[in-house]
Amino acid sequence: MRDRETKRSKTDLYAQVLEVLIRYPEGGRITRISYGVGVPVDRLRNILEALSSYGLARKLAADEQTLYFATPRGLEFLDTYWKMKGFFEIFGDKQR
Amino acid sequence: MPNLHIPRGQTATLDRVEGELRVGNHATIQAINGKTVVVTQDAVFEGSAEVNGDFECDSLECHSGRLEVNGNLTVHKRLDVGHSIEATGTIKAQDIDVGGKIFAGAVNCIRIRVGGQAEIENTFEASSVDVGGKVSALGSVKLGDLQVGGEAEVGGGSILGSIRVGGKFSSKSRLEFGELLVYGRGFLPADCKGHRVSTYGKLEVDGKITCDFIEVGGVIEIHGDCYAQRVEVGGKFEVTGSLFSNRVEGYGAIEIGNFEGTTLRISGKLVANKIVVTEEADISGKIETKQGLKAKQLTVRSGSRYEGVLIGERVEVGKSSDLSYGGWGTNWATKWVTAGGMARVDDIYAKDVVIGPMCRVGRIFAETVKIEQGSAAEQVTYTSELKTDFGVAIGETPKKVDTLPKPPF
Repeated sequence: MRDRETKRSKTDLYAQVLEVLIRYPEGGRITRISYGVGVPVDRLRNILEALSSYGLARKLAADEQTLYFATPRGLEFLDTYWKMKGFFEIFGDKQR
Repeated sequence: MPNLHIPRGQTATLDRVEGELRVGNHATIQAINGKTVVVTQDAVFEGSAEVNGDFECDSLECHSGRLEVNGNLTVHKRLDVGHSIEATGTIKAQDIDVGGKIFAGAVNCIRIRVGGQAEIENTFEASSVDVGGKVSALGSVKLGDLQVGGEAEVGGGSILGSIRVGGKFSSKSRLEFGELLVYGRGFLPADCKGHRVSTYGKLEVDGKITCDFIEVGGVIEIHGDCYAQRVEVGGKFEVTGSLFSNRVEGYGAIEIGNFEGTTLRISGKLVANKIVVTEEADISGKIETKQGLKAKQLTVRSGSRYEGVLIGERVEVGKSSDLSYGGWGTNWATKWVTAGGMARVDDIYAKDVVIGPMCRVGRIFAETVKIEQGSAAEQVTYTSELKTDFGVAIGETPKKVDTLPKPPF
């Protein structure tokens, strides 16, 4: 997903965070998600807040730790995101 | 309490640890005389650490930082790494869970989950692979399911479960696969074999492919022959060699060399060299063949334009559209076709020919011919019966003969 030559757009980042989140159905901790996505925790916290406010991710505070989950709407976003990327491939669009 | 604790920044030379091992941040473990360091219970790494030699334990946990193993790593149960792990040799474990990145010479496990990136130089064996970012396994792979958010690159081998790749998927050499779903872009080499291929983006195959079911949502380009039980086209399907398929249907654009199959139901654009269908061909749209189209039962729907020879037992031209398949949208072509507009075809060789209203036909060679009102044919040669409705135009006087000329194939 990550092309080192191009900067990831906000949408790419959202998708990548959700791709990591769906790999933790038991809930992902922010440090581990940050290792997966490759962004620092403070920046990731903002992204997760944004995803939660859009209903794409869910935050759950339990047992002195905060866990993050992808929501069904988040899965829907991911599916649409990849399909759109597929169309860009067909159009030969350089947009990522 | 651990049975042995290596403090932060210290180097310890070990052979066997009975019980649990706890390793401080930036500690180093040296194996004695190239032997394997064996920990009979769990190994817990508090941060980054280096292991020089082979390492074996019951389960391994690395909270943060980078764990570097210069040798093989064998974990009998679970390998849980928060950030990243690198092993020059083989990582063998039951379950591997890595938050960030894993780099290894080879990996052998049942289940592997990686948040970020997995890079494996040689063989990669696992029942389930789930990676958020990127997988690069350039050696031979033997996998069950492969789910990758971003990109996956494999050296070849087998992935017999389902492959779902969001971005790009490529295989460097022959791959046997179960179900391959590529949202973005895919590359397969020649001689791949699988159960099902679906794409929303673009899939390129560099040679022959054998697959039970091919579903084209985006673009599939096959630079060789294609053997498939069933092909469904919604986008663009190109085969430079021959296509052998029991059933081809859809509404996109198809460009193929030769096609041999049982049924063909296409609306859209079809360009081919030669088509031989043993049962039914039902076509509408713009169709072009160099050598012709042969089928037992052949229907060219109203509003279609067909270039090439039509050969069949029964050929019907200008029949109104069958809406049971294909993506009949709302464009002008669709409206024209569904309204029963004119169909144009070239020469027809058949036993029975029915030309619907307002059609244009080249030469007709058949036993029985029926031409409905307003249609025109260049020439009609028949052996048994010719029926024409009001307003039918035939370029030359119809000829009743004893023997019909043979079709081109």
